[in-house]
Amino acid sequence: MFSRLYMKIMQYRLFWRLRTAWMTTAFWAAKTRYRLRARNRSGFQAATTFWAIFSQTKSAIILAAVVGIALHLVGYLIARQYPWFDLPEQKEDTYATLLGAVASICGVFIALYYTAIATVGASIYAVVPNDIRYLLNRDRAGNLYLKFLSFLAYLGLFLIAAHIYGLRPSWLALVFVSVCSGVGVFAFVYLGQHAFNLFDPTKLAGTIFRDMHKELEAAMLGGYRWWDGPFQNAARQRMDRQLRTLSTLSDYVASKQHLRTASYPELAAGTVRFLMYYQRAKRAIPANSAWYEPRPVYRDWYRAHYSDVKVAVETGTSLSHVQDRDPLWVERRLLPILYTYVSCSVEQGNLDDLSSMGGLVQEYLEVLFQDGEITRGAQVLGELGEAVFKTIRAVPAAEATKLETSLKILGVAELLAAMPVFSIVTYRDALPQFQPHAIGRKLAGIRWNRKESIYKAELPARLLPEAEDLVPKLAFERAVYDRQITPDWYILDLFMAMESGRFVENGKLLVGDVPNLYQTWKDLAKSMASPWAYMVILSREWEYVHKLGHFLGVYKQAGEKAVVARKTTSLRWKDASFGDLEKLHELQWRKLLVEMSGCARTYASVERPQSYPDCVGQFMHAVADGILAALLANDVEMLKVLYASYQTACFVRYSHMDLSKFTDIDVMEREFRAVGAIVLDLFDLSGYAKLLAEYHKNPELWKVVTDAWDGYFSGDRREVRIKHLATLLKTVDDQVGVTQREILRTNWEIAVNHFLSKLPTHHEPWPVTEGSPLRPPEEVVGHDSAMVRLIAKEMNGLSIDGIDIFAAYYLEPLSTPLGIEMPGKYTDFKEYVDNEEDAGRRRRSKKPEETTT
Amino acid sequence: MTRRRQRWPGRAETRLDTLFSSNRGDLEGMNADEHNFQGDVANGITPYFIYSERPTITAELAGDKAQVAPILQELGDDNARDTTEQLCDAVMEVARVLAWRGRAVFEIARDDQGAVRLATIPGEGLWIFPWFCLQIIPKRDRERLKKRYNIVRTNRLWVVKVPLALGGHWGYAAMKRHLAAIDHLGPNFFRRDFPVSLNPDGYNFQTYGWALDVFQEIETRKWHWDRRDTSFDHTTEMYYVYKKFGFRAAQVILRDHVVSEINRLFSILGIQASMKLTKTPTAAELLEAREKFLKGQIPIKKALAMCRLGS
Repeated sequence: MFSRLYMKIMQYRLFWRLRTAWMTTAFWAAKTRYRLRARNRSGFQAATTFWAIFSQTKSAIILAAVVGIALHLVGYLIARQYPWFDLPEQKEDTYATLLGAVASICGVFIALYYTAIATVGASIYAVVPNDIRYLLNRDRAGNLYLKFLSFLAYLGLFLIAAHIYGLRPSWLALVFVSVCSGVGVFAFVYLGQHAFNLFDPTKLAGTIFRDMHKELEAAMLGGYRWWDGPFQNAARQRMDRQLRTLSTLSDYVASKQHLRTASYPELAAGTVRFLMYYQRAKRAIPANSAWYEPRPVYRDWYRAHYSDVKVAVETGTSLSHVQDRDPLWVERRLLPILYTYVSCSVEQGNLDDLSSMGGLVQEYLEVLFQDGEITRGAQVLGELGEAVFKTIRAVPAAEATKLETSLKILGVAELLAAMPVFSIVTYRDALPQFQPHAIGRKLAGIRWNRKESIYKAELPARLLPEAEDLVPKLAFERAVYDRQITPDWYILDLFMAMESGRFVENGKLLVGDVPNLYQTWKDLAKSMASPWAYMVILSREWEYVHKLGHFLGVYKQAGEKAVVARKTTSLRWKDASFGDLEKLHELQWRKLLVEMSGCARTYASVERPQSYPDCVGQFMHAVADGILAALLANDVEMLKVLYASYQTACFVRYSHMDLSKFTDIDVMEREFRAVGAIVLDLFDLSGYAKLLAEYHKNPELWKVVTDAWDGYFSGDRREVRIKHLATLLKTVDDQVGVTQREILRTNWEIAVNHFLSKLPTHHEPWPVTEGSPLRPPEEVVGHDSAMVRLIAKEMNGLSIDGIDIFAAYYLEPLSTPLGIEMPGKYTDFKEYVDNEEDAGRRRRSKKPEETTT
Repeated sequence: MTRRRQRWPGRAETRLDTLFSSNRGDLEGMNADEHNFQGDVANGITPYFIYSERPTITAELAGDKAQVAPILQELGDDNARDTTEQLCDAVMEVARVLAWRGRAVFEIARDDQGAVRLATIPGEGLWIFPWFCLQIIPKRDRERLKKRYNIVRTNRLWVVKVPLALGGHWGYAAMKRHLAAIDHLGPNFFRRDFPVSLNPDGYNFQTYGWALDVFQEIETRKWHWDRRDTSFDHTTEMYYVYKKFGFRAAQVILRDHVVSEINRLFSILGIQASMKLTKTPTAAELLEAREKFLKGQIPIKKALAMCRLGS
């Protein structure tokens, strides 16, 4: 009935006129109220004429008069009860003199303060852009102090006037004026010092940030008419002015070398802190708020509402555009300030400041990643990297190779390259927040009949448009059926469908785009004189790819859980292709290993200062693990690429051993064992190549290794090298206890044994001959190779590792002809293998029915 | 009009006039929403046999097929292949008349051979009383027809009304009237001014559009009509399917009502026969499915298939 009546009324022009009049009046009333509130806050800002000054000062005059009267009254009442508080009568002249002196001093202080400001203004602010000069007027401490002084001066004058009129001096007024005078005098000292700060305009940036917060809060839930377009627009315009001032200030400071003082980092830090706050604050700002900058979007004729289409057809016009909003307009204005600061800091070598700023930027990135805004995070990283490298590359080569400068560059590069690593961990930890149960919990707290409720639900800002779109739709349902038709599970699915797109995109970004960032940084670092920045970035990239592998497991699990929780398939769900991501990750892993092996080979001979990280050592470790993985996976191509480089790097590193600098024999021995461990690692991996070549029945694996060793032993130094390595092996083998890095090599042994343990086994009875003892059936490993059977069966008994295999099958045959006596265990091992070979042959010659499985 | 009364080849003649000149202008200036609504009410109320593969719907007949067939052919299509098709066509035709007027009035006539003929009588100026029916001829046709009214006994008429569950005859007529009264382009003053001027009166199309959609939905709430709106500007997908289920159930109620009225016609004509449509979802089943759908037990694709026209 109501809707029918409402529609009838709507048919009349008068209704629309009244409605417009009402809305205009309501807006005018709200605007007036807002202006009044703003005027109360801003005080004297509008004082341009005498009347305006009077109207602005009347509140201060009244306040002073009220305070004066109150002091008299309260003082009188107290003095009646406690007469000893009252002033002696003969002191009345002194009373008036004191008050006059206080008023004079206040006047002098005001004049002095303005003189100081005028001096600063004339010397510094005369040549700065208007926006910055305006900051001087907005210096809050100074303005407050001047207000206080003027109040005190007038209070003194008022009390004198009251005294002349006949009021007796008030002891309380005297105490009050004395205390206030003390505050005024001491504050003058403080503000005198503060006036020196005004020579540095960046000190005034605090005012801008305070105002930015104020404007932002006006547009957020709870701000004055936060839901009203014109008020949102006004807040945006004011914010725009603040951003312009901040940007001008930043550019000005960046252009003046002498102004890049301690307050410049504060300005940049304030910017980043505001960005962090803003990222959270956006959850309480409507997505279609006029706070965001407008962008016109034209609609599709075949998707628009039929009423709109009909209007356009009937009137011969095109479809009217809708206003889209740019949710990143503030970030677009603020981030360049950060990048400018970073460039200036790198240029000046302010590594300490930059480190603390790096921590803040990392926090900001974490806030973005926690919100699932990987696109934004990656964009910030890219732009930041660009700013950093642009400046680093501008450093002259001669300067860049100096230890001090090089260290700074290294620090900056590492700081930058570490950011994606921390960020991916943050996103991994935040993944449960984007799961259906977490989003569902937030949605459950929303009361859909109250729009403001959606801004209290702590939904990520990107989900707000969906929520805002849903509010009128559910209101429509309630208007028609008096209840909500759309079920809660569907609402959750709507949000999750939207989130699924983001989830997929984030996966692609982390696996594809972020590694591309590393590639860009590496390319830029490679072109520099020193290789260390490149190696540091490569090292962090390896860490990133390592973490990415773990992340993908969690990511896949989260994605699968979300798929299970879906109830409808009709929405625009997007599904991550986990297989593709894993393949891409594996490709990156392989590419990095190859790059690290090349890097290790190239830079193994470069002398490393102690203050530089041992990237080559790290790369060699990673490549060694990669070689074992290639052997286990029967990946000949990968082995070919990695092994030759690794072998070269090992011998380059080994050959750099200089024992002559050690005088203590124990230290010398320890050093020898440490460096010798590099070669033992190589022996170990080479031995496993023999074993796994037999396991995979792929002689190519062993051939890659023997070819590399044959190459090493070719030429004039063959005999010397064989003797040297055989001696090294013997020496290390003779050591009692655990040799250097043996525990690490044990991990390889465990990995190989675990791999072999997957081979099938069966039991066979021992051949029964006359007089032989009865024995339990023998466990036989199902493999053609005797060595594989032997090691797989006796993995805990023989204690054979790769070194033994390599020594037995490659090194010993080379050493024996040269008269080098190798330990007997290698010969024994070969005998065991031969015996196993015979036993295998015997088993194969037996009839099948004699074998029990 | 050249023909005053409906005649058949067998020389049967109705006593009421079947066509007035005013009927020709029915579509002129008709409100689009009203037109869409009445079109949707009858569309697909029974399957379209010529366009689709034969659906599972089956007409069960208890009685003599030879007696029933001519009546159904009279109401529906002469080319129907079997009883099911005949009944479905007859139901759809009666529903079309009902959707247009809220009440379908047929005069029962017999030709020279004694065959039953059914003529649709326009609703304009028709007053049906318990024993007789008065047809007042519109003024513009009086001179042509040379009379002011017709009177027949009520037992010569077969009257089918919209069932009470869907608002009844008067409720349906009122609903159509309300729909027709409001244009979705905007109020009259706006339609007149908009092509040539700006908008000085503060007319807001969004506000009007939203209020109009709510108004139409409330007016057609018993029918759950979806306004042919697939833009989802004001609704969710779930709400859309909910409406589809409701509208389909309303059509089933109307269809079953028409079938029962046809059975009543048989009884009026003294034919001992009764028919019903089976192997198609009932209204209760559709409403139950709707509840299941809201609980997420039926996927949207299947739900839409259940609501498809003529299924």
